[in-house]
Amino acid sequence: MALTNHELLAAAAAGDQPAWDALVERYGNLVWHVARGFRLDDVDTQDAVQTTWLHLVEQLDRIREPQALPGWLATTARRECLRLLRQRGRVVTADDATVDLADAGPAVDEGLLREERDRALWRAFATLRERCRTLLLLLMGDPPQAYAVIGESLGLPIGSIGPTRARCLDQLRTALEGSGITAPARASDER
Amino acid sequence: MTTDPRDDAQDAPLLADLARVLGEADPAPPDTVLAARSALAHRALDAEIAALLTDSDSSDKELAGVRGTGGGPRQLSFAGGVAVVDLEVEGEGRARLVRGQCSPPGVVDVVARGASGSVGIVADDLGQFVVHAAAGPFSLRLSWRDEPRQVDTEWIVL
Repeated sequence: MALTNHELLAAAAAGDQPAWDALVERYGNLVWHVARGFRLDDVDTQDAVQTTWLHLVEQLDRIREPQALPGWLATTARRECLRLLRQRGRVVTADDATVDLADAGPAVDEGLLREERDRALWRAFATLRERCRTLLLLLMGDPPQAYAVIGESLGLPIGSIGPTRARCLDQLRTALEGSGITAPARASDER
Repeated sequence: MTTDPRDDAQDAPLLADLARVLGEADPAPPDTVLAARSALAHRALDAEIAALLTDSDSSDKELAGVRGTGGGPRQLSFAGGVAVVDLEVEGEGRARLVRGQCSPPGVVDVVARGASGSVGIVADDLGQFVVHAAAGPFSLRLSWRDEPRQVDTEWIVL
């Protein structure tokens, strides 16, 4: 039976390394992908990710809403990425929902994906605005986060999550269809 | 507003595909995962966190594009409890020189923690110290020898 965030945070705060490792395992991909969306170079991305985890270590006994930890991590990663982008002089404007960069940053490498549909999906995701990417990353979690929790951690009204989710997925589908790919996968094609 | 259950049924495969594609195309590198695991070793125990108050490389509002100071050293200020730590940072490439000033006065042991490990120094009578560091995550742990005060500066990226 998987331990709750509350239990893992409490154990990690007492110095329990396996509990901390479990948190890194649970949310490592989320933090990584949120950071990657900001198009920093590899070194800056790794620094932003590491500093995000170090901030969690600082706040281990102070996380008020353990169930909202994914959103906390996403928000913290965003803050660190924005700081680095500013240091590099690459931010044009930034508000709660969007970040406009002066340039596209390093190219995302789709070479590891063999299926054309996967490459199209990867490219389509990259076209989404930051708010949509972060929301979808939080919704991809296992188990999926409750809208109330996502809203709270991102500072969005609960009632806006459903419509925003629908809008973001529509944008994703539109971008996919623009590459000539139909979404979602047809049930008969599942492996 | 409730979601239409039929929308959820269509969305779930797409989200699952997206999760799979992200994991295949761009997984977190093993070094990054290992580094994240090692972060627990830096937990504060009895230390108070001195929060970052000002950073000449940023501004309060989330507007940017123009650096705060015209080419001078980066200046940072941290505060926690009664402790204040001011830093000036210069450097080129991945090397950094950090000049620090801490208060209140006293004999203060300073441990600089960062990408290249930990370095211990002692601040002088004025609370000043200098340390060489590497670009990347950075935090100072300050301990006042004659008082039960220990402060960790909030992690930043040099």
